[in-house]
Amino acid sequence: MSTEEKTNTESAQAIINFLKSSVPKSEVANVEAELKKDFVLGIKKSKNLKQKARKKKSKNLTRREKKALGFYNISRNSMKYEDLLPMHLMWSDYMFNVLDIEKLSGIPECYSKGWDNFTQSFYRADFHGSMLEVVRSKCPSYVGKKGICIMDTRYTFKMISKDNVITTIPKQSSVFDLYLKTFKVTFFGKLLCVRPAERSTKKLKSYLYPDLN
Amino acid sequence: MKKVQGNDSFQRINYLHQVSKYMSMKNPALSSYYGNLIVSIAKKNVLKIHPDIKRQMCKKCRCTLIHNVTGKMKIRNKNKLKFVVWTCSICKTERKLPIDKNKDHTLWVDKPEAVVEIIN
Repeated sequence: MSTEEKTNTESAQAIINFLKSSVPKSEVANVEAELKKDFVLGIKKSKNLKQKARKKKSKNLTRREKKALGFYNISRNSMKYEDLLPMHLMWSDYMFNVLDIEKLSGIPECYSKGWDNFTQSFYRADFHGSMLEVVRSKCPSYVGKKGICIMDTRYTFKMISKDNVITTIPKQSSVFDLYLKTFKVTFFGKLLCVRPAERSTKKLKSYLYPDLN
Repeated sequence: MKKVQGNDSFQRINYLHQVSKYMSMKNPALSSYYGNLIVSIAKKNVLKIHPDIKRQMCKKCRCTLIHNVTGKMKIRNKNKLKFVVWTCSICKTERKLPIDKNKDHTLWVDKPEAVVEIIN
């Protein structure tokens, strides 16, 4: 160790001597001071970091902006039932197409062949614009409400009834009747507790035991 | 008969687009709600939205654009090229689509070589 240190100091001295000899005479006094200078690392930031920190302008509306534009509060009396009737007609045409009712000649029974296919396509279909009626519910005041569904969220249906009032009904504890031209389909709202966009990718079990609710 | 992959989702997108277009006259907030649904369904099922549907939606708030109802359409020149500029009246976003006589701006979907197979 000691020999190594010696050689180190010797070589350092040699370098200093060489610098003193090669530098102009006026600078000789400054050589040692210059060698002891500290170099601070990291005070100056590189250009790349600056570019990364720049905020990207978002393409979509943020939640706050949406709220400011009034996308969330559809007030109680802002819509008219008559305006939504054409939407319901459009929906029933669409539903007939999706469920292939004309080809099946009616809704299949639960023991027949087409039942599995029918429930699957029913589950994947869209409910915006459907005519719904609450048959059973934990809350008795919801029972008997009938209207056109305008919004379908994860846990609720928003529907507009004939007297132009928008009501929100929880799916979890209700049973609904769905009117499709001349057909009536009854389903448990509990099974549809999925976001409408995700519903089309999820798989439904072919048979479910209805709970007492 | 061969089945189209994601047929039910395509039908759903088609229906939602019609509803969104109809709603934009009555309640723009609901229209953009349906527009959002279209985009999220297409994302979940990994499908492409047809350019005709996509170009009718506002890029930002996703409500259907109709001239003089929810948006304004103008034809503008820039660098001697013509553009259709749609301005959404809800969120004030602009969208430029090139239409120039001398250049070929037809979509790939509309070209005859894009059709590989016709089902049904």
